[in-house]
Amino acid sequence: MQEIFGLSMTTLALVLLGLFIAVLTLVGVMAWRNRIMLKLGLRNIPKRPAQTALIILGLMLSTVIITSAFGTGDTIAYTIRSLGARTLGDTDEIVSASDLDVPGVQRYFEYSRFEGLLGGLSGYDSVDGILPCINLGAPLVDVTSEEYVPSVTVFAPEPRYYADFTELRNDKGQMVSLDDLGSDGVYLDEETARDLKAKPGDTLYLFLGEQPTVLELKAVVKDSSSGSLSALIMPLSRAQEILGRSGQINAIYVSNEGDRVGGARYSDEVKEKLEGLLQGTGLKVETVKKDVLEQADLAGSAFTTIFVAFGLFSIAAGVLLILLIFMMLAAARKSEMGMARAVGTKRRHLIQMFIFEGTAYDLAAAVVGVGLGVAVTYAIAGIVARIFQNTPLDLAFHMEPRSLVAAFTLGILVTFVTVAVASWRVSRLNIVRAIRDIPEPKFEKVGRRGLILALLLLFIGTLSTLGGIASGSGTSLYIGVSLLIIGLALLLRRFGLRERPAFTLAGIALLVWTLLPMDALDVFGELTMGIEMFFLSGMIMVLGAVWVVTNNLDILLRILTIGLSRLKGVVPALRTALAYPMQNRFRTGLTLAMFSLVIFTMIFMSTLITTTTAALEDVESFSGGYDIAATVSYSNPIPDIDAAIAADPGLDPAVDYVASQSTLPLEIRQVDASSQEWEEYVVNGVDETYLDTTTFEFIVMAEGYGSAREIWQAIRDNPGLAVISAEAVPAQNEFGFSVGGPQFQLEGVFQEDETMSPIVAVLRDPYSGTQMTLTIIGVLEQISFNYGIYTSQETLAQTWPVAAVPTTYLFKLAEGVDAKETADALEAAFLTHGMEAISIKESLDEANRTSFALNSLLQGFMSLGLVVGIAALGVISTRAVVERRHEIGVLRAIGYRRRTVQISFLLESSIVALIGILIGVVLGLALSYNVIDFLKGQIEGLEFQISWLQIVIIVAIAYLASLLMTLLPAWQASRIYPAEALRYE
Amino acid sequence: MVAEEQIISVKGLHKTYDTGKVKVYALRGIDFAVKKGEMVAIMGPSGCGKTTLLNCLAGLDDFEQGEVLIEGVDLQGMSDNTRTDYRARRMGFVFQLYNLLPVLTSAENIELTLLVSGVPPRTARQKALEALNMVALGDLANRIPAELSGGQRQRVTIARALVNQPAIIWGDEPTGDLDSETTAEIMDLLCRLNKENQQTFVLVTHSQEVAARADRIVMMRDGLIVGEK
Repeated sequence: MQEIFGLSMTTLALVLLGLFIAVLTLVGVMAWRNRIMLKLGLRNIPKRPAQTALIILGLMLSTVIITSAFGTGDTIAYTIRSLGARTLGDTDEIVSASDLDVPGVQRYFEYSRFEGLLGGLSGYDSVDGILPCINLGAPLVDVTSEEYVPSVTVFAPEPRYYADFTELRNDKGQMVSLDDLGSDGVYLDEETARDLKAKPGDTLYLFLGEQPTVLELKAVVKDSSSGSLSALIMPLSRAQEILGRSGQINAIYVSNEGDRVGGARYSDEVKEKLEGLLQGTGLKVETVKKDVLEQADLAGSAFTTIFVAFGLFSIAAGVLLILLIFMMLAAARKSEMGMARAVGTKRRHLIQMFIFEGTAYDLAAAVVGVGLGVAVTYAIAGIVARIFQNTPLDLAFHMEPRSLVAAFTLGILVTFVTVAVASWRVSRLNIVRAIRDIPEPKFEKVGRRGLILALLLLFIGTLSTLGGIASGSGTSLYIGVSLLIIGLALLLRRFGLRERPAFTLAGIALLVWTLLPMDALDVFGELTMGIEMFFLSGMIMVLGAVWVVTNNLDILLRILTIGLSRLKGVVPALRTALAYPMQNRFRTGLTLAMFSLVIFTMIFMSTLITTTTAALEDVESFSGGYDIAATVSYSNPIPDIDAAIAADPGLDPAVDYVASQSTLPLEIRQVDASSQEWEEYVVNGVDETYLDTTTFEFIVMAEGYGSAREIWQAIRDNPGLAVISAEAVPAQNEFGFSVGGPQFQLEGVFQEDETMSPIVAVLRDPYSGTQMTLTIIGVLEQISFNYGIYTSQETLAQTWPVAAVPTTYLFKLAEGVDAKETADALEAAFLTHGMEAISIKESLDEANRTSFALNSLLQGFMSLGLVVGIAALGVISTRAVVERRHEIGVLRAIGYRRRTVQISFLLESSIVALIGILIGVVLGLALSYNVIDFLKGQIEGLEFQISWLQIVIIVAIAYLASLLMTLLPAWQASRIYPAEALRYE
Repeated sequence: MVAEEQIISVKGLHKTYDTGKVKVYALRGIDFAVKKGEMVAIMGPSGCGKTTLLNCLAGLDDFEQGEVLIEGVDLQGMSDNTRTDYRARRMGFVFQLYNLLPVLTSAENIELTLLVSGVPPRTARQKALEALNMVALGDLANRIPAELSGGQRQRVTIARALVNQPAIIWGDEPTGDLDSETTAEIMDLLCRLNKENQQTFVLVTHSQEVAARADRIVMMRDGLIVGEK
């Protein structure tokens, strides 16, 4: 993975390393100059090993999340890069007359084009190999093993150039040559040989037409540089003979100077050189290796971005935990600190003492965190590998050293900044109150500092709000209004409004603001919002909810008391269990926030997964009303599929009707767009059966059309009309991620629009230069597998007759017919045409399973944040046993049994954990409802659905884990000997 | 008027603290008795074993040798739960420092003793308020300890100690943190309650003023009773 959030990983790692060294140097200098404070800071660490372990556990989470996010990105990028290198081998660029992404479409050109290119590249150092070849797909049968593959890539290079281009080796590692093949010999790559169970000597039937060409397998090879994982290799002359293409080729492979990955750095320069030499020929240059490597990095970055974005909540919870820990450490050492100040220690010395201690925890936590992060990455790689086990992706754990450096240093720095802020905060104490352990007085009014803060928040909030409205930035608007609410609350406090009403109202206002339906923001004009909104709204929402709860905790707990007071044995324990959280509202609020943040994200994900899975089960929307989708080889199309089906006694009763689709790779530009650059795109011509029977729906329709059926009928009846798939239409609010994808995007319409004006686009064949104009009158739903522009075959064929030859078929089966069996039967029946048929429902189910598995993986990743909440409760409980030792002695003296003490501790943790979990559940459901309500406009059939079982499981695991964490401290508290405790001060 | 029967009887009490490296013989054979309704002060220098004796008598600490009977009952032979329940019903405690739970109000601190004895919450609240009135703090029911003066806190502690009408009230330096005027007020209160309710008071103290108000003073030194007056 080369980049993250637009930053080069190498630069990021170096900058972070520099900052880390600077911080470490600063702390080191401080420590050397004040060794006493260093000793005072560090001596506390071994004193309470359980507490130290808990602190490190809580602090390491940020590093675990960052390390595993980076590691997952590296693994994905490395896997795709390896796949690309394995597939393409030494090939860096491919020159052709067609878009090779569209299988089965080949155009041939004269061999002399290659000779011209060869001459032009003479003496050009950046290219070290050039190879003329024929490259096409065709079905292959191994007669000996009685196995077949519907499509294998026939790769036929010119032998005299091939030997210099790449080193072909057999499965024993020995070099082999095309010259050894003889008249009918071929090589197969390992993958194809495995699929066919083929061995050297097997007889093969290759269908490059109706009649098979009989061949003999000479050897199984690897690293053919064919550009495909499934290849049959033969000499160029033999392929020309079979195809009747004497003197012609359809591709020229180019290898750059350097190794299989390093050569890509010359791609741009080589492409420019080649295009210069090929001007006017209609041939295109594709930088295939560079594209694959870029796709690999994009995919890696996308995964990292997703994991980091969702992990941010857990990181935020981790920051709160650091604040909590330092508050508790300061509370424990209050009188010690007071005495230190009294005898002459300066405030900055106290800050340093905490920084030294915090840095020690920080370093230990970062080391543990990186180690665990690597382990988590390894586990994620294993799970993703299993998810994609039926694909060519051979996922293997990989982590770049610079990612480890970046994760380690970033984890340390995030924690260190929080430690520094917390240290500054806790060092502010009144000496006398600290020594005498007198509680801090409550202030009825906000002081001057609070007033300045309020005015600052109001100022920034106003600027951000107005700026957001002016620029259409939803993020600025969100932040601005939230700051205004907080600033206003502080200002009201300054003017005498009591704490409870001020912060309760502010909390409610924040909740209302963040829970507004997204449509309600339309009053501010058109706004763009991205994935960061999820994080922002979640944080603000939790802040609002925690404010409301902590400022009204007494009311909530009074209700609980009334409810639970019927349980007589519990009443005394309940009294103390409720009193402590109420008295330490800030501590309680921090713990509530930690739990809420993590549970909120988990519930949000759970609901989103449940809802989208249910929507994806809508086969009708996905399939357009068809049961099987099939493709055939362009080199041997089916002349009349209806007649062929009717003539097959097995298939005829099973198939109701067949729709067909032809696909052409063309270039496109929108007539009235700001950019008039030609972009690569795909146009599909569909037949009348398709237009009459399809049930594909639209998210945007042109004015005047009331239904999808009207649009399809219009396309059938009016040549020149078309519709387009959703990827080519921008969305105002991007909540998803796409890796690569089409670059072409329409202007003048958004996915969220209700209607659109018809949009005129021009299509061009880059080879011949022929053009045609189409008018786009609809945008297809995202949920279908459609891609490109769709118009009638009749329209396309007027300009490009080749469009009348379909290569894709959609079958509607009779009632009760099994789609999978029929798909297999179709493949067998049309084997010579290279038909590959899939049951659409099965394909959808597979996609669903993969999506569910990936989302569940993400959910599991986010649950790491629970560690923070649980650690928080563990720290509080452990600390409470020490803080309340004398009080426990008093309780035991006046009649509290051991069990009552234990129950009191467990109840206290339970109440705090359950309230925090409840806040998370409610907010998670609320936000997911809003998001799904918004997405309904883009995805038909999306209905808000809750998996109560999942929610119960999440709540149960979170609660039980918290309870487990408190068991030991509660037991310890109950074992406190009254006599010893009463002496303890 | 002092009742005749013994409420506390101690014979040959020995208590040793063994830290592993050092053994401390805190009590070396105490013989001691208190009559019902008596107010006894235990005095002696720091480290003589006064608090240890009090803890052993109250069932807060174990001992190796000897016999302690409270109302004729051997507490040492009871299980921890039974002993704890006995403390809740039959004993009250007034400590020098940190008597009250800082997170509970005066009334809530007092009613805790009743709640652990199984008294319903409403009844417990009523009795707590009555106890506060008894110590002239009826209008401070909703204050937390941080909002009370030292003397007021000690009054609340006394109210808590008495609310369940215990047979014995144990006091460990009950006026140790108070000024002389407040000390006198507290002792007036304790004496009045002792006379009115015929409850037995055993007070560990350094203070001569406190000891002077007791019916009997027991002197301790080095883990032994060395005199009485």
